[in-house]
Amino acid sequence: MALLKRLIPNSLISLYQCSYQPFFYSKYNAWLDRRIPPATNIRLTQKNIFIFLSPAGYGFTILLILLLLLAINYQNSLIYAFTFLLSSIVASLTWLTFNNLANLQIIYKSSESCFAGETAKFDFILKSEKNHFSLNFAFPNEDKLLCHVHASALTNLTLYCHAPNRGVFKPGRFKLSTDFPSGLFRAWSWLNLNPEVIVFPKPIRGIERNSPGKEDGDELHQRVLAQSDELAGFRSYQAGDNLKQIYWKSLAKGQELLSKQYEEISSSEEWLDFDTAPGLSTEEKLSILAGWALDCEEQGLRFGLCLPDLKIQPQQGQQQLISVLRALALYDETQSGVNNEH
Amino acid sequence: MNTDFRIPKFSLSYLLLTQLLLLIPLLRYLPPWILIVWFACGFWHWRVHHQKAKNPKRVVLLSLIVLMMIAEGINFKSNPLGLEPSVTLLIIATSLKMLEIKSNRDVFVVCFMGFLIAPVQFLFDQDMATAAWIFLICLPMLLLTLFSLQSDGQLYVLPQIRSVLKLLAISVPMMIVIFLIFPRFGPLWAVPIPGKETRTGLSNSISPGSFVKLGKSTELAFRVKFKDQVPDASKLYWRAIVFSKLQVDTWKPAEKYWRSDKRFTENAQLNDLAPDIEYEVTIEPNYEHWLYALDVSRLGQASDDVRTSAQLTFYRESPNMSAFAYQGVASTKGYFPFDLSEEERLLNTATNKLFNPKTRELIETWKRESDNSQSIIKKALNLFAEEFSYTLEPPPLGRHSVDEFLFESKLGFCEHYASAFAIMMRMAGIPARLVGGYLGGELNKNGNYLLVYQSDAHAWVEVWIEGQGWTRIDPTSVVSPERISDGIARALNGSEAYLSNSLFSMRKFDLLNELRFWIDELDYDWQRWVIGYRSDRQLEVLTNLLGKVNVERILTFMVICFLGIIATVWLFIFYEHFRHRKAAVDRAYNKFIMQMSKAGFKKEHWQGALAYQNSLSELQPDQINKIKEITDLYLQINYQSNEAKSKKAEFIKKVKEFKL
Repeated sequence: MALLKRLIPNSLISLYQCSYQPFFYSKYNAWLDRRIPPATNIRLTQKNIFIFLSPAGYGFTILLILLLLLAINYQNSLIYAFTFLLSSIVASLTWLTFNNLANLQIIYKSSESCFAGETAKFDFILKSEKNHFSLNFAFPNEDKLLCHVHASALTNLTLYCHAPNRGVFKPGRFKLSTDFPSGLFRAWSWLNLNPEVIVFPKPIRGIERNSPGKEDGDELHQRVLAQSDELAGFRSYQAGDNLKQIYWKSLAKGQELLSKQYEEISSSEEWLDFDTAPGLSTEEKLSILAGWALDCEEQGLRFGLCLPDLKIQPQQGQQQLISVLRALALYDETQSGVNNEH
Repeated sequence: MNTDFRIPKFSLSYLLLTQLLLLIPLLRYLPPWILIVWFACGFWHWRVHHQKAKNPKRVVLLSLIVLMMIAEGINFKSNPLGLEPSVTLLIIATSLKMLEIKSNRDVFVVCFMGFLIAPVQFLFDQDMATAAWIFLICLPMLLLTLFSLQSDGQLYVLPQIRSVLKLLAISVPMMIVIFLIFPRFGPLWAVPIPGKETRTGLSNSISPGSFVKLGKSTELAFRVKFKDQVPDASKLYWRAIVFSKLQVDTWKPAEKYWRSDKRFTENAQLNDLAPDIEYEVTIEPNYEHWLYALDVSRLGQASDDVRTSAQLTFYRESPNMSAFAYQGVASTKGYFPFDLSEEERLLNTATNKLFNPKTRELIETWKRESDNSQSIIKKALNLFAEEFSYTLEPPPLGRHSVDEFLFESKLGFCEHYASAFAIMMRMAGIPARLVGGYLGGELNKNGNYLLVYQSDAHAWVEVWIEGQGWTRIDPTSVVSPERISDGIARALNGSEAYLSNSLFSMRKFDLLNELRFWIDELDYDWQRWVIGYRSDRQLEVLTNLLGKVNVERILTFMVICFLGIIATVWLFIFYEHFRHRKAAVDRAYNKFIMQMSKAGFKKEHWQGALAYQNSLSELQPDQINKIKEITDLYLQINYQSNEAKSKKAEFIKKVKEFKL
């Protein structure tokens, strides 16, 4: 194919790619959708398996023609027999290669989010009553993954796909192909298990937060120590400690005076505000907000998100980070109204 | 290119083993240094594979190629475009390719070259042993190598061998069908044939000593089956080539009469001789155009490219490159009354007047005594009757070879006697020519056919007698009558040169003879039916199979075979289907879920069967019970390994009956 491409001038190729290819492509995709409709659980049968010669198979065909010519020119019966035996083996191989894919079940399990520009992870389960060997899985333009499926055991499959943009990412169909057992035929299928994943905007780190949140107050008073009821540990009594916090039991035991330490809740709330975020475009703003969210979570602060169409109350922790990032990922400015000005 | 590409470890062992197995039988015909070349390349690649060496750079590879070309040129300088040099080139190319393996594609190329080398063996040898070696040993190894490239080490040796053998077994019936039906054409273009040095057999020139080499050979020339009784040994003259052109003491065939003549295409005149001995000859390939006819024959049934020449020999338009069978009908009266043209007379009485003066003088003496042809012939034959002997080790002859033979050495093989006699006849003005071919043959009593070996090669004379035409005269019959009646083995019994061939000495033992004949019979059938399967044999087989041979019947036959194959595949699929009945269970469960989903109770893909059942709480109690039964059975079948057929059947039935 590459050789053929070199013969055709570039201009013709680009013309084809601009005009006809999209047309054919869309027709092809429509046909594929009819033939292999999306589903969470696909079982491979004659309806959704394609099979044809692999490049090695073409070479083998040429070899067979060469052998036939040899047999004709030398009028040699045994070379005829050899050629015919190879031909019938090739015919049987069609079915064997098909059988390596038939009755395989692929089930979509889950996905793992990632940031834009990174690879998202998709988990699948492979199930079958018989053995399948040398299966290749790949999303288009991604790396291939080779795996084998054994009967009566579930196989976990993890596929990766580059997610360029934020938002709901649907990589669409991936190709499952196999050359087993002979390498002369390739059986493949385009499976659409409807995997989808939320891709967070690519964070821009290192931008200083403009801290005033919704509540006014100067910085000195921001860190209002509140105490939870969670006991974090003990420390030696120091003059000035709250008398209510003294751990009397240790004194009763004859040990030194100890004071209880409670977990601190930093009640400084960070509000990540879309309107006040620096950045020229929406995407840049979202990226900066994502960076801030990561910073806040790392520092253990409570942070909340304020988008034109959505407000998330301040919380602390990993879960909050994920909610915030999801909101940032799913933010759709066309729906939030024209007015972004506060 | 990924320079770290490596063949899977198993595949490398299979590949090298396969190549060795393919190479061994070929070493009989090819120069032995290719084994060294192959071994060196294989060893180098082995080291590269284990990362102890690196693939040679392009410069080194190119210089190796040049070196190989030179070696081959030196080895085959006499015939650089023959069959052996071509095959050697193929093997060298395969070996060198192994040094260049950088990607998966290269491995496939090396593999496929193995598939090409295997049938090349059949260009040299088509006997049963070779066929067994290639089909039963080399072909499975080739397939094993190819398949092991794909299995990624998941399958071990024995399961892979089993699957390869299973595949072969499935493919054989289709191969037989195609083999029977596929039309056989004549060659499309000329192809290289084995060099003359490696072949034994008649050649298209006779000079003193040329049959001696043949007399020591044990190779088979052809086999003959007679319809009725095998004729008497003295009648078994097999005519191959007629030599009319004499150059000093070398005889060559006259090109002009090599081709068929209108006088003979209708075989009308021959019918006067009442030909009545029917026979079928199956020749071993001699890579020449001539065939063997019982003196004198016409062709039996028409064979596509077999013709009768003007000298009543059989020949083919294309050279005999593999076993070939044809039929003839003979009359052993031994002469045919045709006219002699003036041109022919001149040709057949020409001698070189500068040579052999003593013989010429002798002939002149006889002519003066009596001018009658018959008396001259008689006198010449009587000359041989005394003091002459028949030997496989005649002394070399000098300038006047006939003089020396007749008056000094008096030792010769068949060509000495025939040549001397013919020259004497020519000197006397009687047209004479040499005929080369075979005489006699060994009878295989079990199969009732004759085996004619190269050692049975013979030369005799044909003399033109007015009113009779070309008459056969065999001077050897005067010197060594046993040669005619008992064959060469008896004639030369006691001669050291003959018994130097140990196989013949084993002929003394009857038991071994029995075995030898039994094996030969198998080989004969093999040659006739499989190797000699050409258009006439094919016509015969297909007529027996189909009744009449025309397009409709052949197509019907093919369709029936095709349907048969499809039926077999279907049966296979059904067998697989019933072996995995659990698939039916899963499908039934899926149907059940689909039914529920359509009614609005969708099962999430992360829900197990039990969880799903619990989520269906809004249904009526009796429906919930049914669902409980279904789910219970499903869980039992899947998780309690309760694979009893009854449970599966019950489950499928329940799902079928379930209605929301």
